[in-house]
Amino acid sequence: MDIFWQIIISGITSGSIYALVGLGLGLIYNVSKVINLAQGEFLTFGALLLVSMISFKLPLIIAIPIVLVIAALLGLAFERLAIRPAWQSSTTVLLITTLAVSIILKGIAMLIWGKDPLSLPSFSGEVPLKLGEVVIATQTFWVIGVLLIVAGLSWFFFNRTLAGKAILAVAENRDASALVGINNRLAVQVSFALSALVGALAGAVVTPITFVSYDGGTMIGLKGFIALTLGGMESIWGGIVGGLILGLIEALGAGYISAQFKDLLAFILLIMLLYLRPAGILGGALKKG
Amino acid sequence: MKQALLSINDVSKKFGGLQAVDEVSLQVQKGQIKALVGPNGAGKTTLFNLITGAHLSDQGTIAFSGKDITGSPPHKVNEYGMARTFQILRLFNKLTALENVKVGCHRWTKVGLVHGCLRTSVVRREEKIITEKSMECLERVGLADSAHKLAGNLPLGKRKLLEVARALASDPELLLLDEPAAGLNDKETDELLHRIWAIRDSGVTVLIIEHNMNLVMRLSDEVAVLNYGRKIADGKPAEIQNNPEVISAYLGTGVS
Amino acid sequence: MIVQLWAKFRNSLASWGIWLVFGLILVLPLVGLSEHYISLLTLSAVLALAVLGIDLLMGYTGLLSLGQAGFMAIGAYTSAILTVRYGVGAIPALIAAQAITLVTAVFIGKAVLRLKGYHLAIATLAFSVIMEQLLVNLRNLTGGPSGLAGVPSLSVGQISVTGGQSLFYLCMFAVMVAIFLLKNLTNCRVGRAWQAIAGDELAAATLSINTDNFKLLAFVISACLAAFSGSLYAHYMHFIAPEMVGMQASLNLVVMTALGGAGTLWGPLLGVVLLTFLPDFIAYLQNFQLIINGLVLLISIVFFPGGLAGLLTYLYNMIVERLFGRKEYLNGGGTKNEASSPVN
Repeated sequence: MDIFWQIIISGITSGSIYALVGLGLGLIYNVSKVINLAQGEFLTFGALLLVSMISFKLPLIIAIPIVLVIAALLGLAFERLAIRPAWQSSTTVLLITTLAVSIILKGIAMLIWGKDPLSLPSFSGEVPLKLGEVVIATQTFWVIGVLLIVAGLSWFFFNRTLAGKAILAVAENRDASALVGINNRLAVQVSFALSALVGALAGAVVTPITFVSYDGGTMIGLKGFIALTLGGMESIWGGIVGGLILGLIEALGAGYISAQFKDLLAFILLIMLLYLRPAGILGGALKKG
Repeated sequence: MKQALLSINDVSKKFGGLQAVDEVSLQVQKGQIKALVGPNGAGKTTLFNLITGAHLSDQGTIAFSGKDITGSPPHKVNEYGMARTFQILRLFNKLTALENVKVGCHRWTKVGLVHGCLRTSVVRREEKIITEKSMECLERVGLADSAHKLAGNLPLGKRKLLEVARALASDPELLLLDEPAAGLNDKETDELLHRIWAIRDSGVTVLIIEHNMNLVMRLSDEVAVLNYGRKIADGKPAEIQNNPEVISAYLGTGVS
Repeated sequence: MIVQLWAKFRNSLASWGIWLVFGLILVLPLVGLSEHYISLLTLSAVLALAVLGIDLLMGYTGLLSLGQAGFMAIGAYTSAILTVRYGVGAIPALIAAQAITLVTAVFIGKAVLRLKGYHLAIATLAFSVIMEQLLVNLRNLTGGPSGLAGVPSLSVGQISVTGGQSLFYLCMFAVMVAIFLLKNLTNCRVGRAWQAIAGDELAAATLSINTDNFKLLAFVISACLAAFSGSLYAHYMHFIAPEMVGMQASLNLVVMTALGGAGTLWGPLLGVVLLTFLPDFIAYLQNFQLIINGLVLLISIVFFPGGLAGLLTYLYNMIVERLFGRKEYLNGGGTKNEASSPVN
């Protein structure tokens, strides 16, 4: 039974990270219909920026906000320099545009931080918490806490503030929202900034648990996409739900089947999901004619 | 009674809570021009989509040349001998007008992988026939001089005609036209009228969705009227014109 | 009359130009091109086969596949495992690789081709990741992360293709045959059906095109080209490891295709050559390699959606127009449009 709970906790921890990546992807996708292949790089940047801040002896309370501001600016620059010039192009071109950005961001990360994986000490000390036989690293609480706070703030933003509601309106129907005077362009910009910020925050809190290197973003970005597909692409919340489910499935698979095949399991799950629920996911695109 | 070319029996389609097509039956006789009219949202285009297999009907049967084709996918429907145009144009914009029409020849051409890879004499012969046939189809709609322009760069009137030419290239027995005159000026509409007659005279049966009542009255041999997904009238143009239900449902709304 | 002759000349230039370039490349080793560059050209030719497959999917059929290296992996590992572990000859191994790929591609294609746009892209990428993971984890068969070494040189019967030059000519020959076949195929009924599907799937279907079958055909041809490329890759490197044919390789192949200009057959070849030679030419900028790759891709895809091919066609037309003061774009003009229409 202890092993079971250990697995559940590990699943929720990695699930929280997938959820944050999925949330960012879902936000951009719903507002701009772009699948952002550079989402994982936001996470890498958040993590590596924090490593640098800490090496400057900045306390977390100052370092993290700085990281988030830089990440948001990065998201804005991304939108302005890459997405906007390609805005009228096809799905394929937009996807490849985000791929190009991910390559550039990897290149920049390699230039600044080198090729070696980096890590950080836990935010609240290395002594893990023990509940009976179950051992929980303190950083786990940070990760789950950040997810809860981000989810809560997102809920508040999208349901209780005018700006958030406006963005939801754009996500639902771009033409209609333009008609009632909502600035779609601004909504897209905000979605990129917020998405980068959430990604960077995820990267920042996860670094003490895993190592982060310049090219680690692609895989985690894909996991975020699996999370989003699992939870439902057409909703901003889909990524969070799907992320947690994915984390748990992976952890259970690794725990009871084989740790080697953890990633394999996630991607086979994705293909099965896309195969079995094409109508649900596609919304019958071909049949609209 | 002679067998109709196209025979639709009690076909229905529901989208969510909306009954788009409600137990519609319709016959198209060989050699005639039949018009399908009705206010916006009456279910005309949906009926087209059901006939051509773009949508699956919830109930009812569709027969073509006496063969039950209910539930056939679009490519089968064309193989059986029906070709259509679209209200919202669906041209291959990155191909030239001629290439668009050549795609239309797919139905009666044969070349496959092996011949295609090696460009054998079979291919060259077939390509020659395809090019001739395609130019002929372009000429039938008056687009021969635009053959080498990109479809996406043509003006709207010509794009609509190009869809007709592309459909004709498949040598259909029945041609379904979805609002071909929408957006055309009077002169273009008049030209279109003559072209459709010419198409009918060449032996192609025509089923046409049209808003323009004047055009329908002049053009068609028979008219069916849809309203809220139901067929409310079907007959000769003169009869339809005097049908009170049609007048209140359609003519009364002030559409020309 | 003159206009017609000129148009005819330009048409034939467009169709013969590519063979002219191939001819020039073929004589390069004879005029003393160094072993090093011959080797890079050979690598370009090997990768070009996989890239041509992507072009068929992306440029002609409008399907974005991010899993091409997954099929390269099948080709490379089948060849490597059969020759290294079981002593099978290179040609039988290559044929076996094609057979396995054919079956796998039909299976995978039927599953993923129901998807559209992003979903297809991600599903194919997932396929590539799954292949990579399998290669890493099935150690007994594949040698795991450290790969399989000692793949013998390609040999046909008793004749072994060992030297750099003979392998170069063999690979160039393979690419030229592939181009020849694909050019023919894309210029007949089959190719038109693919382009129709890329243009508008429903419209294509209403013109008797069985879209599912034609998409599957493109997918399978593309996969077989990738597997062929993979087999040659293993023989060329004498070694194969999962990351060489993994997810990142899949993405790189797409980058080459998009950079060169999908839908033109010759454009993607430019992309392959550029991205194979660039790291060598700017070796002193090694740390900036990724940034430069990314920037080149971004600028070309955003500002010239037709890639290098689109840019070159545009420049070519502009020069012709300047010199002869005549606008005679065969397809009505515009970079984007010019680039997206296939070579004649």
